[in-house]
Amino acid sequence: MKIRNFIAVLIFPLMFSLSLAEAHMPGAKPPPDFKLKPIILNDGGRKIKITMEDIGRYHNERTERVRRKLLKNEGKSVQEISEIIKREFAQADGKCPCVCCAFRVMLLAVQKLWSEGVAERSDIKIISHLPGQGSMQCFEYITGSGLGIPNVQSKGEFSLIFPPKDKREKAMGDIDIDDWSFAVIHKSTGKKFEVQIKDDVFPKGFFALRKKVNVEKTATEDEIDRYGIMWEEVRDTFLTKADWEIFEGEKEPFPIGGVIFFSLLSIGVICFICVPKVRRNKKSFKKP
Amino acid sequence: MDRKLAQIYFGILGVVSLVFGVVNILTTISGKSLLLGILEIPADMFRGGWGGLVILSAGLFYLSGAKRLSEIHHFSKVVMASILLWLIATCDIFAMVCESIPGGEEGPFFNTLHGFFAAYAPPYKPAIFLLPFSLVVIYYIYKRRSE
Repeated sequence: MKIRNFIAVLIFPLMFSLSLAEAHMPGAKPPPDFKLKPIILNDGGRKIKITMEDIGRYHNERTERVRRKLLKNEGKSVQEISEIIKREFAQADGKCPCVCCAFRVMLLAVQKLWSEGVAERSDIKIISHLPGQGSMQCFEYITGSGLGIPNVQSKGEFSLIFPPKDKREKAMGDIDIDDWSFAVIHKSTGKKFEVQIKDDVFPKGFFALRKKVNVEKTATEDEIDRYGIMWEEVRDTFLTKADWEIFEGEKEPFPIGGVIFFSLLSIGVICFICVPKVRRNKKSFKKP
Repeated sequence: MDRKLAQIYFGILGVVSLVFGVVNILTTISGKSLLLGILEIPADMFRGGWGGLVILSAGLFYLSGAKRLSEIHHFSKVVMASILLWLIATCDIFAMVCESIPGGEEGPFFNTLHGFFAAYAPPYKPAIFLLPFSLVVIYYIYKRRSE
């Protein structure tokens, strides 16, 4: 019990402030155009659509609120706080890699576990191994278990489980690819969908640089800039790439369009070669 | 009747080519490629800018030639426009063929069957869409010769 209290008192506030640094990236370019379907839920008999924008906004609001509290604790004045918030959140839209990843996980999970593509909110159970505020808040929003979510009629379950490593180290933000794994459970049937993010999603050296920038705080200006570019790349991958490019075990669909085009092209080339020959042969046959 | 039909056909093809050419040039200037379903309008300097200029010229040739198709000088403009489109389309197809055979930077020497067909999958560039429609000119070349 004492250990639990220790984790709750010491580690979670640390984790909170660390993941806050990742929640938004001041100076990051806006994301590219993307087409992601909304997550459709049945919330106590009412159909609701949750879009990437909704989650982004929610995450942004909560991150801003926490940042305000932290600045207040640091003894900053109201004016100073509003200036810092204005500067730091100037272009923030809440679409950080964690949020985008969690949204994609849920989109795929709903498609896999609920045949009609509409999930009963109270029937959802999510287990995440990623200790990032973005993904946690996204899952909280979807299950309706977070703070300040509008019009929640029913609630699902969400738990964050650290992988069996040093919990304290994990909470301090030392995450790697193994932590980007999630499980979604259809509670009434017991069906479980487990998913792991592919290695290729993250540029080489992403986690080492992340640790240097966000945890150890020893990164140079150049490394911070490089991390910012990598951060944008990961976010854009989650927003724009296909499921098979993001998740382990998802198969790339066979390129039917490519087969049709190649067949037509082959027929065209054969006709181009054969038709003049046939015509020539016909003409020579007609000659006496 | 047949001539009238050909005039309308090449006129429409000219307008479409002209629009594609202009959009190609605009995307190159803006630096952002455009993706509309299975149509992709590139924004790079060679295929977007230069290619766009060639498609635009093809459009102008079609429109100029379609007016009096019975005259050999005007008909040659239509043929020329088709040749311009063939040049760009064959460049695009050749790029696809080259891309489909090797296995990529970190892959095997030869591509997999899946990767091979994926290279021919959509989206396609405008010249590829215009290619089959421009081939109609071959029919009129043969027809003219027989006349």
